[in-house]
Amino acid sequence: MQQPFAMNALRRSLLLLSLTLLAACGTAPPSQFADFAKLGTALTDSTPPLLDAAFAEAVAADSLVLTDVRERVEDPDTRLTALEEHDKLLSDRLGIYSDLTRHSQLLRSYFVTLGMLADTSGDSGLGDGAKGIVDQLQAINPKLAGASLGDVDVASFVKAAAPAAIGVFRSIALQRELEARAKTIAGELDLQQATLAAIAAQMRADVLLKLQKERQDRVELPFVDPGTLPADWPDRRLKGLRPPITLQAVDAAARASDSLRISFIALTEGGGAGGSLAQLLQDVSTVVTLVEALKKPAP
Amino acid sequence: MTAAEIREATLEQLLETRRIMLSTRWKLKLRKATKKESEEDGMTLLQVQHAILELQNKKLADIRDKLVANEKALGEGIDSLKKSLKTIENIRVAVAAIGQFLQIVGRVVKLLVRA
Repeated sequence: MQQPFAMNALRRSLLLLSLTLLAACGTAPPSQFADFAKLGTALTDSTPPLLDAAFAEAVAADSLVLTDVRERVEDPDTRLTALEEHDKLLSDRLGIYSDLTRHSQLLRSYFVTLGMLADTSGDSGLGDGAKGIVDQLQAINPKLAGASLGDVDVASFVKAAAPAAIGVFRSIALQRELEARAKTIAGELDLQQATLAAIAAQMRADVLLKLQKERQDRVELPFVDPGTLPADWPDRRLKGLRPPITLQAVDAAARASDSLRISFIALTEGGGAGGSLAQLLQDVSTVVTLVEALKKPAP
Repeated sequence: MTAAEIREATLEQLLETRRIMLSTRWKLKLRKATKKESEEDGMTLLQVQHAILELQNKKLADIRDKLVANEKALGEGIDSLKKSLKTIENIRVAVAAIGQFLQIVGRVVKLLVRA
């Protein structure tokens, strides 16, 4: 007996689905790509405020040096030359930071698009749409009504199979993307880690210099010089010993970018990135919290 | 040592020198220095800071240049991902359109059956 066209089409689709499911074996699930992409986006969002903070600290440290030198060098030409030269170097640095910010926005676009491809939340709607098609076909051709595949009626099967098929397509597309661009993205994440490590090192030196000056003025010289110690000297000393939030933020970002790199390697190895994603989530959460604190005005 | 390693070692040394020259202990020593010695020390500190800014900029610029070199490939990755997204979106649109079409066909069939 000749099978109805619709049933033949469904059977062919099921065979194709089985083959593609097999092909998708060994790939990390889209949900891990989605998590990786979300965290990557959050980390790239943190880069511009960190660069702003790094530049502010660089200018503060340079101003500290110029102020100190000005007390000892009285010649106006020498003073002006020093200021102009250092302003030029800091302007150059601002240009580099602008390029780094622009690049982080491009990387952000990559993560956002990757996240959209890995996002399966709309796929159940597709299943409903596919079931609707079968329902309509059954209404047009009553012979299809009551058709089943094994113990499952066709309409319900298609409703489940459609999102599964799209999920397989997503997995394959994501895997293909990894294969095509693993080297580029791995290189990119290496460089991001190097960038944040370099920024962290610069900020550390600048912030510590500022802390040293504050400690000198508020703790050490009052202690060393003759005269009465200020009443709040013990509190000043305690405050001077605590690391400031800007330093914590940039160190956290450098750690998070390293976690991002490790998670990406785990994803490309196909075994899944569960453990490294958990670490990445923790690191990125730390960065986001600290960067939010950076954005608040100082008391 | 590579050029980058030499630069890194030099930068570390300069940063340490800057820290020492602005420390309380150094300040106490300068209190006993002549005006000329103090001025010379100031000029040295300026040179140290200038060198620090230059080396830090160079380090950042090198990383920036490598990131920029990666941008074309990164852009291609974004385009490829968008293409895959478009395919999924086309499927969604097609399923919705087929469903709507079949609804219309179903109504026509019912009318023909009644006629």
